[in-house]
Amino acid sequence: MHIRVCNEATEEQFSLRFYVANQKWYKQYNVLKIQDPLEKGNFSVVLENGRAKVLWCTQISRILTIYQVTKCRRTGISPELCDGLLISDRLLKSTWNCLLPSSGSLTSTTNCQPSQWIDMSFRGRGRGRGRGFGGRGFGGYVPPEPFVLFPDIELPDVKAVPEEKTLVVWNSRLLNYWKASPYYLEEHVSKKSQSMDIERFSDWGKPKNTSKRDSLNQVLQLQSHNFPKELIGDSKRAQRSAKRMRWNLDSGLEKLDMFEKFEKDGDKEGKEKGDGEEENSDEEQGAQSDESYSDDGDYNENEHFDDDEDDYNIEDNHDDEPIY
Amino acid sequence: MVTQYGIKYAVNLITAHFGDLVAKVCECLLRKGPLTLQAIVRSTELTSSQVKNSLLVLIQHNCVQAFILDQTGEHGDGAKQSTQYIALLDNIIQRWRFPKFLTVVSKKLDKQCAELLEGLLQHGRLTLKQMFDRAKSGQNGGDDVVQEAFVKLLNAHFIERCPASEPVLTNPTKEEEAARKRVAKSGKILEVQETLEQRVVEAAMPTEALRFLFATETEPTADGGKDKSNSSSVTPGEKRKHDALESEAECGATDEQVVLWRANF
Repeated sequence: MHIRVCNEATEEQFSLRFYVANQKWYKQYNVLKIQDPLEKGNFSVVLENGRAKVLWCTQISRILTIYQVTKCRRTGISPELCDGLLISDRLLKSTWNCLLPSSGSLTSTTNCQPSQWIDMSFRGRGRGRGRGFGGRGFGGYVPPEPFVLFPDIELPDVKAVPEEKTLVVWNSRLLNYWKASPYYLEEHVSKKSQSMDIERFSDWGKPKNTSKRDSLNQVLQLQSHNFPKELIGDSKRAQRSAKRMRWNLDSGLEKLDMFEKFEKDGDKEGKEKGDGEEENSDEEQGAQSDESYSDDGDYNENEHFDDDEDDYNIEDNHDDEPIY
Repeated sequence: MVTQYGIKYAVNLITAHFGDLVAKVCECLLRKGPLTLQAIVRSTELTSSQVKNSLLVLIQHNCVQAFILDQTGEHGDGAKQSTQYIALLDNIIQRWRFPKFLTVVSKKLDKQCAELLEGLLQHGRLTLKQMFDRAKSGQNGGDDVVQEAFVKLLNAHFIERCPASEPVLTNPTKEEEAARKRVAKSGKILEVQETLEQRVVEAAMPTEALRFLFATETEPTADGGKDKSNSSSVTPGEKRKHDALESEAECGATDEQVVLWRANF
């Protein structure tokens, strides 16, 4: 690669790529070091093989400070892509003519006339830097590193994600609301068909299908200017339900919890009172208090007691019939 | 561009939010394009009431837009106007971003605005009165606080007026049809659907002047020009007292103009 040159005015550095050409073939030299110009018009280049070459040039428009260059490998890039051409009329000659393009393209190499320096400050930055970067990518010895299949990496802290937590919380709130809202339509059996079935004792423990959702009519503004007329239908639907919409669905659940607590407290008080009464009754009645107090309602009152007699097939004792 | 995976994703979203019934109707509209109510009932094999309720839910949540297609008869018959429903895929997919919207609003504005916006996202569309009632039930501040938050959201264009319920679309002209025929067959159907959806949305959208306009009760009635254009409940040329307006709103007359607001996304 590259000879790195520097613009004295801006101290901007960029590199040059040289091809060394003789009469027969091109060869790229790796330039190790460039010494300061020995005299006006000349500068020496130390090449990879250790030999110093002196470049001769004429008509220097501007003297530039030249820095040490980095190594690079030989590449198959054509001379047109290089910044300059080192020409010698003889192989292994100590003196080289350097041709540098004045307008970005290489001048004729067949002409052995001494080259003309160009003002490096007008050279393209990107071109120079690009070449430099490319050169660094190609060149430069990188020692091989041992291959690790699963290298240790620092994982981010699981708890240090407040934004994602907030998003998850909002999302779950919205989802829970919609599932309990009147907008979540279920394919349940209509009430009319339910009323046809006889409610059996075994159905008491089963969860009922009656939904606890509000109806759509409570929340939707079913006016003609909000929804298509065919969806609103008759005037009955258009009238808003008299029931108030439950905006806060959690409040209903909290009330249910409160009622459960009251019921439990009531049962406890009832039991305490019952125990207290039993104790009193034990003192007063004695043996009669063996029966435990139970609140079975009207079951034990025998007012409407049905002893499972078949009302339709009453057994006839034949008391009315005459005896033959 | 509508892809199969996009449709599947949208249907999954609707299923998670509103159940299988609504998702079935939504899928039918997404796969078959704009349909009438009868066509949806036939395709989904659901009852008419189920389809109607599903459409109400989808319209309420801005996932479906109804429109009237004005079809002129081919043999000189009278114009046929049938109400069709078109699914808005973009709006459905945006539902997944609702938590992000709330986060952005809570950062840019305040907590009250975020709670108000949450209500609008939960219900799709709400009137101002419903927003007040919701705030009272949740003990989130009085009417003044809610109105202040509402105005902030409106000024920031996070909420807007709801579009028209049934805009009327006319059939494209012969020139437009000829231009469409020149398009490759494979892309023709997609182009027609996108164009129709865009046309429907544009036709339903309120004008820019009205979209983010809120008529406050303190606006002076002396300025007749502004009042007529601002308030949607005042018929031009008629003077109404402030109290009369309030009483009519509270009575909830069925055909009264009650402005619905929704999130702007």
